[in-house]
Amino acid sequence: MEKINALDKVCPAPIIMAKKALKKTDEVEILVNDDMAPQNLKKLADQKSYDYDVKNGENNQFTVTLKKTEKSHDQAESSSLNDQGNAYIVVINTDIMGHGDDTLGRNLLHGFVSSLTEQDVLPDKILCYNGGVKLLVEGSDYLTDLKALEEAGVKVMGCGACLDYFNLKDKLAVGTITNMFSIVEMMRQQNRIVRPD
Amino acid sequence: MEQKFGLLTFSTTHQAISTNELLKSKQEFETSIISTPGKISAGCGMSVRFNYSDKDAILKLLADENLQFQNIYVGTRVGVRITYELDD
Repeated sequence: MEKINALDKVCPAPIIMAKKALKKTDEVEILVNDDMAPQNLKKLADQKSYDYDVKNGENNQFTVTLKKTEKSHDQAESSSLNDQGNAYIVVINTDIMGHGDDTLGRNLLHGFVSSLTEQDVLPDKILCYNGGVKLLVEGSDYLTDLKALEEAGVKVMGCGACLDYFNLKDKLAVGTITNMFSIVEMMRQQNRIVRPD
Repeated sequence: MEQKFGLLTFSTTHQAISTNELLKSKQEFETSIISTPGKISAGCGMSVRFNYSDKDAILKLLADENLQFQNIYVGTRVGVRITYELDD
């Protein structure tokens, strides 16, 4: 068991520290005070099938415990880039598709997302960052399609720092918030990434 | 859950975009540009999707504004699967 002090470290630093430690040990205890950290560590735990526990301390501090399980060991061994078959993820990094004319580009992106719903093989995930997070918030006219994709099992995710930058964090209407560490990891683990830019 | 919506097809991309923008500017309609589905394969590559219950109001507005469109389809969405039929 390793103890990590991640006080005053902002996301995704606590996650990177936790992952690093979990390479050497089976259990870590991380002390954090970034609001987003417990939630993001929980996501890491869910994804890797780790046991997760959080205790609230004083001064807005949290003690998060992550512990490897038998299932997480199996998962680590079986995950391989070779058996992905038709799987792909979609990365949307803009609310404008292509270059040349922005009005056309906005409308093309609508076409892209609606066509995505009609594919024989749906993506595993849709990751949105920078201008792409505008698709996920209240008032966006992508919500019908994105919600249908979500209902069909596609994980829709938006970059938290980007939502924050555009002041849209409390306006998220579809999908969940993710962080750069997870985005890099998801992109790295995927053979095929489809990007409408 | 089954959802029903309308689809306007056009002969040019500019008509599709300008009609969608006009409808959106009215604030009372929820519309969206989508790629004309391959199953329809009529007109240009862009169509305007709208709530089917707004059909009469939209048609009246398009007539008043003298805007051209090609056809109207009814789409039925079950999950992510959609079927289209020509509206009569």
